[in-house]
Amino acid sequence: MSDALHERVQAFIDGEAASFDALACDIARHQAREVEPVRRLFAAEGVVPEALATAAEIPALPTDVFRLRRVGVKADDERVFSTSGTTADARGHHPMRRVDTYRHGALTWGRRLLFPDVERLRTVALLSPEAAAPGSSLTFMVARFAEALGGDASYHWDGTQLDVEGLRARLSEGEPALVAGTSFAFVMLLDALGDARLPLARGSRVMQTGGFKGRTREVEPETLRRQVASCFALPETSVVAEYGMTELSSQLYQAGVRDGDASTVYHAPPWLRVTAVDPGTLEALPEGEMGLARFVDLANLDSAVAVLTMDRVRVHHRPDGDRVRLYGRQPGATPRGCSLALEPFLSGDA
Amino acid sequence: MRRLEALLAHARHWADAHHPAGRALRARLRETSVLSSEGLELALAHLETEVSLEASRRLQERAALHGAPVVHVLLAGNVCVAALRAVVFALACAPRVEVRPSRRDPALAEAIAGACPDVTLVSQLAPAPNHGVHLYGSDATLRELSLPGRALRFGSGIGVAAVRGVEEVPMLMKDLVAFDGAGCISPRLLVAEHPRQLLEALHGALETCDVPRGALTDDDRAALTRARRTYAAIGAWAEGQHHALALDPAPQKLSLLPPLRAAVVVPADTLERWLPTREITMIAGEGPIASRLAAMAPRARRAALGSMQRPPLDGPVDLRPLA
Repeated sequence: MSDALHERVQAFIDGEAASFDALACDIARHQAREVEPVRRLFAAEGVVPEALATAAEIPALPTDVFRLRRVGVKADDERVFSTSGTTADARGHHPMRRVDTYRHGALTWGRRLLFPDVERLRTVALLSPEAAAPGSSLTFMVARFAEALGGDASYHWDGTQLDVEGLRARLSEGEPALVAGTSFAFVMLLDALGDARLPLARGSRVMQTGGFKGRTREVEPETLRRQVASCFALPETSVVAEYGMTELSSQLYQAGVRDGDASTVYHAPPWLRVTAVDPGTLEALPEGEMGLARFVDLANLDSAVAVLTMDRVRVHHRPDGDRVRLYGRQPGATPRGCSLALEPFLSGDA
Repeated sequence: MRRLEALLAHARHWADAHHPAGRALRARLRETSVLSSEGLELALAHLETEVSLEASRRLQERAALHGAPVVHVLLAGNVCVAALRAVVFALACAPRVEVRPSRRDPALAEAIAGACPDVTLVSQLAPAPNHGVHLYGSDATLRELSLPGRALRFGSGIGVAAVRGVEEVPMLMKDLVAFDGAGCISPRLLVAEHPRQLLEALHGALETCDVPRGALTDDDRAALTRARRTYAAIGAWAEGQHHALALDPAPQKLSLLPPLRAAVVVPADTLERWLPTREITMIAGEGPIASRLAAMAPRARRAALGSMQRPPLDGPVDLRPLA
């Protein structure tokens, strides 16, 4: 079992001096023994687990595999998070034997980037309540934020519709709030409010995440940030985008709340290493070049520590964590013929 | 029927590499097609040039259910010979046909319009409410289209081949190589009792194929790289210079390779549990596996292995919207 690794990763998250590479390689060795797709990938790539010396040598598992196979150790799962594909065929799953490391990482990075300046905040979620969405890693995370921020939380999404009146009432209560939700839920709210505004108390902040998934019109990220800030009468730096996905256990945030930085750069925690790789060779690219995002996420302990996504990024490495700019999805194969494309079957972001 | 016969007479010229019309079409197709020169010649060998009495009768029956004064046809960035069948069906439905060709591959549509006075190329479809509209394209594109008129939507699909043994590999190879496996009736999923044997035998056969695949783009290479790694983690992968095959030994969901002369091989035992049937446009092969597939997807066409890409000229290749 991986309990000792969980303790080591939690200590790393707490800042205990340790080698990222050594820990990542130990986790990869555990997964090469216990997680069938990882074992197969090591064998196919000719990588000997015992010979691993750096995180860069760990073969990264494509996120597609989370849709096609169980990517987890053979054990009872404390939780199984699912991607938000629109059909069962498109949905991927991330089983977790223990969620405490996920929770610890999410709370630690949330405290640094999203609520570094406050102990208590009301949480207003444009999400389903946790009991109604037990497979949503986003809902799980926001529920843990709510507990950490005093427990005053409300949820305003029923799976298909936004509870606009409930939100209106809740947001008018006058206390600072963390308003968290998906990008499409914020667009629904903006559309429902029209020209009306819902000024929030000073100290409030917004966390928005994810794409639109065809549920609403699409809005450019910077436009959405500006419109949300205007709607809530907040500075744009108080509207923070999160980047996460079900296949990962760690998250990246923009640094508006912490640094007053209004840029669209995402900050990775020290326990998440991001590398841009060449889409054709999967070789690491020089710093700043655009490529596919390859993550080594120490909190992905009982699944796959190295994950290859379809998102295009540029990465700058900094001692306190990687800085990442997003450039959308890598296109699939050039369309030709009338054969069915792969894209409807690929796993979506959380 | 006279218009159909006249159009097929032109098709015989287009299929003939030595006829001036055939040479002209090839010159134009070389500007637009993603296929290699050899692949293009093989594609043109699949151009329909004859229609049997039986096929003609079924064509007329199907068309009679969708008759209209004018039919408007939106062609997809399609396999390069597909425009002919689409126009044949439209002409069977209506005295006059307007075609908006694919921007990527307009060559055959242009030739057809040049040869057939009842067919006009347009840059935008403008149907009246009593007109017929035949839309060919990806499901995503078709969902976004909203036009007046009575629409038939021919979306994306896949061909599934039921393979009884390695002795059927030469026939299967014919189906996979034509159009680089990118048609909606091309074999993308290969079902076999002994999938690993099939993977190895087909891989070996494809290594000897003398029709090169069309040139790959960077995005194609990236899609293959990703697929290679995905199947390394779940099954097996066999790749040659001009093809790729994957094995999923215990499928739980449909997975596909990019349509680059590539297919996934799966075992037959659990098909009913995981294979979504709405996507299946063609089932090829004989025997118990093919029968099971046909029961699961009754609207799909049937063909013998080796004939997947040559359905009779009795209507659109994708019969799902007509069922």
